[in-house]
Amino acid sequence: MSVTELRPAAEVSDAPVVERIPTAMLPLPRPLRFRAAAVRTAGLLAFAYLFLTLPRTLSFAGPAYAIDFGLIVALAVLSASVVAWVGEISLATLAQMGMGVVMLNTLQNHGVPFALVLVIVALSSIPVSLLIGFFALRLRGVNFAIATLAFAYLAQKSFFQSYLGAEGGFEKPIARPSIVSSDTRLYYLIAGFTLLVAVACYLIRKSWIGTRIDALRDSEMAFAVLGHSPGRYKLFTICLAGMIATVAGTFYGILQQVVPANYFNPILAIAYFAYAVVGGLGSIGGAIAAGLVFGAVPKYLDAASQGRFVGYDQFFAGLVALCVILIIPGGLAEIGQRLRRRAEGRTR
Amino acid sequence: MSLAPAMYDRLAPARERIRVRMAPGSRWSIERRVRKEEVLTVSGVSIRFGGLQALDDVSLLARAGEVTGVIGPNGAGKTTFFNCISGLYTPDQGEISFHGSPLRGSVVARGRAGVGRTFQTPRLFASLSVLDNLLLGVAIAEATGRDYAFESTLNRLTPPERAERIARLVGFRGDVNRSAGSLAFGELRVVEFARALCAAPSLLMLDEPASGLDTDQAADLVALMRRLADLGLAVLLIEHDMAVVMGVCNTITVLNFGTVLACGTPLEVQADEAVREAYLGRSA
Repeated sequence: MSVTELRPAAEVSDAPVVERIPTAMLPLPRPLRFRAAAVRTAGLLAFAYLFLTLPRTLSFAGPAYAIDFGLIVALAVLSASVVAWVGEISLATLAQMGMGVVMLNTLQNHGVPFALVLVIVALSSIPVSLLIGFFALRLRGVNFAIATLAFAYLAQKSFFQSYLGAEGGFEKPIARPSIVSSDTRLYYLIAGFTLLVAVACYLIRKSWIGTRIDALRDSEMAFAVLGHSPGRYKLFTICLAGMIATVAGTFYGILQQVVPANYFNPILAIAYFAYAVVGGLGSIGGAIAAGLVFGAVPKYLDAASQGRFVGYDQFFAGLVALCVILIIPGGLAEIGQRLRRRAEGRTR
Repeated sequence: MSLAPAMYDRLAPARERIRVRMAPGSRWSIERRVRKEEVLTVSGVSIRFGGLQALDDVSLLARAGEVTGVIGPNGAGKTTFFNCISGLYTPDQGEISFHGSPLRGSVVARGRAGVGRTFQTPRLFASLSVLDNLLLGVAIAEATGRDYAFESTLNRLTPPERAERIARLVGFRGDVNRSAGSLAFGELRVVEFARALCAAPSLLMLDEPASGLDTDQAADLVALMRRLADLGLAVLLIEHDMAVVMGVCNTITVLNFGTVLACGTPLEVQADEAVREAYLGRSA
């Protein structure tokens, strides 16, 4: 063979080219394909029904406040889970939520229309996220987690305690915009936003950005040596997570109206990270499910037990987390996948 | 078409001028024009980790069209040397030039400049498919606008076609849609090699590419390295398998305790008394 002619080794070799197709990639048999399509359609319809009627469907168990709170926790957990896409742990989620409350109050005091408030709050999260992202460029793993926790403590001590005080130190409670005057109306706003964020996160995961983020998590060194910038994708991911957490904080401010500084106790971020692990770290659906389980269910139990459950919410969270982690380490996301596979009649 | 004798005579002075200009040793000489380009020049690189002098005044030259071997016993500083070139370590002293310009900047910048490498332990992106691994390399070639010097027809293919063709080129015979995390060790090496090639580097640094491969795969790899070099790539090779090194390398640099013990052609290195004593053994 001439040196100017380069043919694939597989072509020039006498050995047969072996094409191995993994079982999981083989197309499903026709009856199973119908079944899978039927299961997915039914799942989508059930989701749409629940999405539209959840506060009313669960009204027997408690007020819409519970599901609103659950969705806010879901957004915070999703934020923690998004940071895990690049293999890092952020404990600044609560601090970023606190920034959202403060921004909301500031913008309301300046008479900014509510439609603009969410956009400005989302954009205002970027400088703080870039600061946290700066840590991510310098630190990894436990060191990064500790740096974000330190940042959260600094924010708590220097900012929230003086600004929010022990009893929610704004001059007047946060006003609820007229379009979200009730908890049920607020539900539709938060649920719509959560859906939007979930779809956006899903599309990012499936895009070339998601591929690069996965590659970065697998081997940052190989990623950089190839010529891709790890810093760019880390900053993008941390900014996305920060945006979600900050907007979640805004919703929290609207829901609670009076928010004391201790609501953003940095140590709570560890619990939120634990929720993300129970949901299935990195999973979008798992994070939202975990948020609802750990945010909404205790509130409903509290309402159903007429206050007798108060104080046991952390016991409930610990018990559920322990059971899930012990039995199914992949978390709620894995439970969901198993259920879907079983319903679709797949063996794997 | 024949040239009239009168015209031939009239062109005699021009022919003479051309002959003089292209005479051996002149500026236009054929040998000068095809002289192999110096892709990487490392001069006097030293690096110390605490009390350990990992590299001490190491110099090396890698030319396009050649395979340059770096050999030495375990702990000699071979991988440290690669890490200095790819920017993972910053040398305490010395200069590294790439295509005649100082090679500085981050690991990312060096990767984008055309310094490709593989690792001693393959570092594939395990959660991605083989194809996605390769496409990440192709994306760099696309972003930097580099052509594939070793196979010009690749530039005409779409990125997935290009990735698959390079995978076949290096001898990967499996399904490119398979998860990289499910590959056997030998396949990991081959795919990592393919990924580095996908980025269209002008310098390819291979860290023990033959370890973990069977005899046939190693023979294919040697042939491929040779062909890639013949087609203009500069290949820098760390390898413990002496049959591979002696069979494929144009020049070899021997490291021992971070210093250059010998440098030369395979025959010269084999004949070097210090090398035989320190590395190949007395009986070699």
